[in-house]
Formats: sequence, C-alpha cells, structure tokens
Amino acid sequence: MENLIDYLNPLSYMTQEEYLAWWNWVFTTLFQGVVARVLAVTCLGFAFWYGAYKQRLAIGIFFYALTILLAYVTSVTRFFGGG
Amino acid sequence: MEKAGRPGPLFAEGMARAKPRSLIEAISEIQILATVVKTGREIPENYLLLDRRIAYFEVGVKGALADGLISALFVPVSMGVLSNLVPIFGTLTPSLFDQLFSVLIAMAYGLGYSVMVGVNLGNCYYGKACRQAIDSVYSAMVTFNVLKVMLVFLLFHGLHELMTPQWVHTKFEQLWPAWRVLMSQATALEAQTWILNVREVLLLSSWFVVFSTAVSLIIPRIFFVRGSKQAELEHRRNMLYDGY
Repeated sequence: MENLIDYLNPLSYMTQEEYLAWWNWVFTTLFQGVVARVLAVTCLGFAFWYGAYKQRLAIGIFFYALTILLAYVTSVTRFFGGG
Repeated sequence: MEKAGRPGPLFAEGMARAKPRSLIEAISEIQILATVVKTGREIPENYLLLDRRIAYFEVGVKGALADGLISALFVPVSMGVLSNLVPIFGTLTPSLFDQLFSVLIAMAYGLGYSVMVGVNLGNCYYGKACRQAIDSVYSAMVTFNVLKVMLVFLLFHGLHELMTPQWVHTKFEQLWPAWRVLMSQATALEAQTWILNVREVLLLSSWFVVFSTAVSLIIPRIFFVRGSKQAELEHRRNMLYDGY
C-alpha cells in the first residue's frame, strides 16, 4: 500500500518547485500562445461539426465548453489573482 | 361457457403520439411529414392539432432561452476582449484573429442552432402542414429572441447606470467583512477593477446582442426560402418522371 502511495505521489519523483514549474509549463502551453489557439479552433470546429451538422448536441456543447475554457481560463485565474 | 369476443371497432387508446421535447425530435417529425408531402400526398393544414403546434413552439422557446443565457454571459466578455480589457489566450493585447475568435465564441451557440434548424428544415419547407410546423418553431425563435434582446438591452443598460465606481466601492466596503475570509485585499481590488471593466463594455454589448440576434434569425429564413424552391423543383421532377 505504501509503495502504491509513493508511486502515485509526484513529490517522490521531483521537488515541489519542479512539480509547480511543470504545472506552470503545462498551463502556459495549453492556455496561452499558439497551442491554445490551435486547440481552441479545433474544439470550436468540432462543436459545429457535432452540434450543428451531426446533430449530436451533447458532444457539440462539450466541445463548445472546452473552447470557452481554452480561451478564457486565464481571465478566471487572473480574476482570482493567479495571473 | 366463455363468450367469444365480437368483432368491433378498435380504438387506439393509449396510443397518443409523444410530444417532441427536443429540437432533434421536432426536426425528425417534420422530416417525416415532408417526405410524405414530397411523394405527392398532400397533408391538410389542420393535420397538426393545437397541442402539436404548441409542442413545436416550446421547442423553439427552449433554444432561444439557452441562446439568451449564453449571450448575456459571453457577449460582455467578448466585447471586453475587443476593448483590451479582458484577456484571451493569456494576452490583453489580442490580435485580429483573437478578436474575431472571441466574437465567434459569443455568437457560436446562436449561429450553430440557426444553421442546424436551417439545414435540416430548409428542405422540408414545402406543403401546408410542414410549413405550419416549421413556422411554429421559427415564430417561437423570433418571439423569444426579440424578448431576449429587450431583456438583455434593459439589463445591460440598467447595470451600466447602476455600477458606478462609487457604487461598486461602497458595496465592496459593505460586504468586505463577509468576503475577507474568501479573498485577499489584492483579489478584492482586482474584482472591483474587473467589474468596472465589464461596465465599460455593457452598452456596446447590448447593441452587439441586437446585431448577433438579427444575424442568427436571418440564417434559417434564407435556408427556408432556398429549401422551399429546391423542394418544389424536386416535387415537379417527381411528378414528371415518377408520376407522383
């Protein structure tokens, strides 16, 4: 059991600073810059494809929500003092 | 001795058709009607009873209400991006692409809904019963979108008048004892700035909602006009070549 907890705990592989830096890198890559724009455009495309064309509203709305998240999540973090 | 059942009329009790609850169900029903009409069997105007027409109307209302909620939430954010007040993709100085994308996000739900209605029902806009059913959905969309525009217009203008810098500051001071456990002083200042930034774009947002709603409502109408012409042509071809 202890081995499993150690296996799941990221701090057993890296320091806390490295772990935070890694999350920071993931965050800035996913929600800022070119990658974020490409992902957001793809998600909006899928939202139209599934929602309007294939008539699968639930998947369409899911991709639409994902687009909004990719575009504006930095606004929310800035609002709560994270940006 | 048990009496044998005598033959008699059959009443379809409990066989009432379920009312369409979603747009997809309504579209499917109207498509069935349109297929019948296109094969040469005219469906009379009063085929659709009042409960059915009201059910189609309700479907249109649901779509307009969802669009209203999304517009009220995301149009001010989009206008904030255009005015360099709200960050998008982590930047406060958006490029032309970012600005267009934020506008597209604000309009996406309404546009998608209208395109879906237009694409799927455009070809069915033929024959009295089909037209009546489609008009029920579309009239609900128009009525409740106009109501949405009026409500959003009043709400945004009212909020713009209400949320003066003094008012926001006073309210934050009054509520600070309750909020201090939830946020730091810096976050509270950030929140005040954010509210005042949103106030700056509320008037612009209310006019943008008028524009986006008009665009969303025109799209299905264009599809209906185009689709009815195509359906008429198809019907004529069917009569000519297949003898419908």
